[in-house]
Amino acid sequence: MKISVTDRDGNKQIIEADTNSTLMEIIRDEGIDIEAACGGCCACATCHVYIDDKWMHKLDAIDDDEESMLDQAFDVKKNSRLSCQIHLNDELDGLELELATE
Amino acid sequence: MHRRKEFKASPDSVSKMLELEKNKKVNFLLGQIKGIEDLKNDKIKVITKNNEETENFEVDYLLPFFGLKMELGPIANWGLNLDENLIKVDTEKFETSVPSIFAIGDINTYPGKLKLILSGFHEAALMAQECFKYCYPDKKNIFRYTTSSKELQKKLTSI
Repeated sequence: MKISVTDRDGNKQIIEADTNSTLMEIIRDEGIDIEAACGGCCACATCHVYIDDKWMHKLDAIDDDEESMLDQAFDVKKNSRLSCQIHLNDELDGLELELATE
Repeated sequence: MHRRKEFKASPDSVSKMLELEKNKKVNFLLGQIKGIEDLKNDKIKVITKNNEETENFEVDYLLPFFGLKMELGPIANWGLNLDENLIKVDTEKFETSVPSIFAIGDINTYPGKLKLILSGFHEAALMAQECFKYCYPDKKNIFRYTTSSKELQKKLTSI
């Protein structure tokens, strides 16, 4: 499966993804500049991404922990998510997202 | 100002805040800060946004509470061996490349590093053994367990 990641300079990359990793891990392991300071335990907000609107309804709903942690992020939008809390599945093949501003 | 009505703070603090708001002692605004400008008259201009509505405020002080990002700050200039944004340590004493400066927890790095609270405690325990030598070079460090040492138990219960 593949996902599309747009970095903060607007460059779009199509990268290989798998269903064993979180979205953050896939982005980080590809060498794309995502801070993910806490390592993926939903304890910071530095893996903040904007999910393309047409994919939002396919994701699992945001839980309280993630929603609260987004309070720590800048420029939170309706399509904001923390990528460490998103587990990929086959339905999400082709997912498009953009890295949020730091 | 907060981006939503719900807060993660302890319920008691939240209800105190809401009480203050009710009594008009606190003016709570929903939204996010989009920008700040330093005005020449010792005031700060804060540009806020709630959905698509933008507003400007002039304030005397701004206390922003954002983000949880590890930054070394001035420590980056201490001459320690670094690996990107992390401090390299040995795994015996968790000492940095500069003797008597130690680094434990998420900020350090070594082969096999795991960012676990458990690992942080382990690092602290080993680091403390070495710190003892710096602090009390002439004293013998006697190792004791809290399960059996009366002296340690006494110290713990008196806290």
